[in-house]
Amino acid sequence: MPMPLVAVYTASKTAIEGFSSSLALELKPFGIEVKLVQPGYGPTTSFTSNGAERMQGLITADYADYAQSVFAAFTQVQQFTKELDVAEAVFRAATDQSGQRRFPAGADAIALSLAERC
Amino acid sequence: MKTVLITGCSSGYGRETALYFLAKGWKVIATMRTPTTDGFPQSEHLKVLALDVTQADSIKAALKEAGPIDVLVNNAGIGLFGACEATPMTTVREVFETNTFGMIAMAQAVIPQFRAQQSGLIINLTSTLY
Repeated sequence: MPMPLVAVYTASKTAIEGFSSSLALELKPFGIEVKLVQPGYGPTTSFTSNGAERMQGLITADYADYAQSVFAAFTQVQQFTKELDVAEAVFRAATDQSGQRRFPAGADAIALSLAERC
Repeated sequence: MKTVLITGCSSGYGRETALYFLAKGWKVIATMRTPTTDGFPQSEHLKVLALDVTQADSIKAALKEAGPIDVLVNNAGIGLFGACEATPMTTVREVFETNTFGMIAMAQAVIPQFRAQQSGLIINLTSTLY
């Protein structure tokens, strides 16, 4: 599910999806695997604080009201991704032998991945 | 005993993942731009190394110091909230340097070793938010 105000971030991550899909094929003959762990929304991580100085001024007056409503909506989120969800998903990815390539992490990401299969 | 190298272990998903693999009995190479063992248990199975995924020299030095690994976890990333039109291209490039090019550079750096050992696993952290 797309989120607003993270277009650049999303672009940087989507690129890795395509990169990984192609690389997985290219490295298979050499016995090397490439997998993805896909976390959902993670409000408890330092997603924003790590880039605080980078984000100064990126919500201009024209976007202030809209951004406010987006942030308000974030606080209503019931299902989100915690650090342990990701650690568990990475460990599953590292130990799984079934050939599965994508590992959603977090209740929201898992719900989304199930919905996409329906 | 298997060895995992994880990028971006100073906080968040990276640190939690490092602790999780340690608890499961793996050898863990926890990397971060400014190395610190704060928040990690004393363990002979843990090595904390400096690694900035945007710097070729740093990648080379860290992998040399790490020795053979079985799994690379490409976790290091930076977040960014902001209106697209207000985001300077220098900032756009900074985000890509870490989140995109950093992961590609790390993959490039481990592939020769993985090919030589005829096994290896690269795990890339992305997102479901699109």
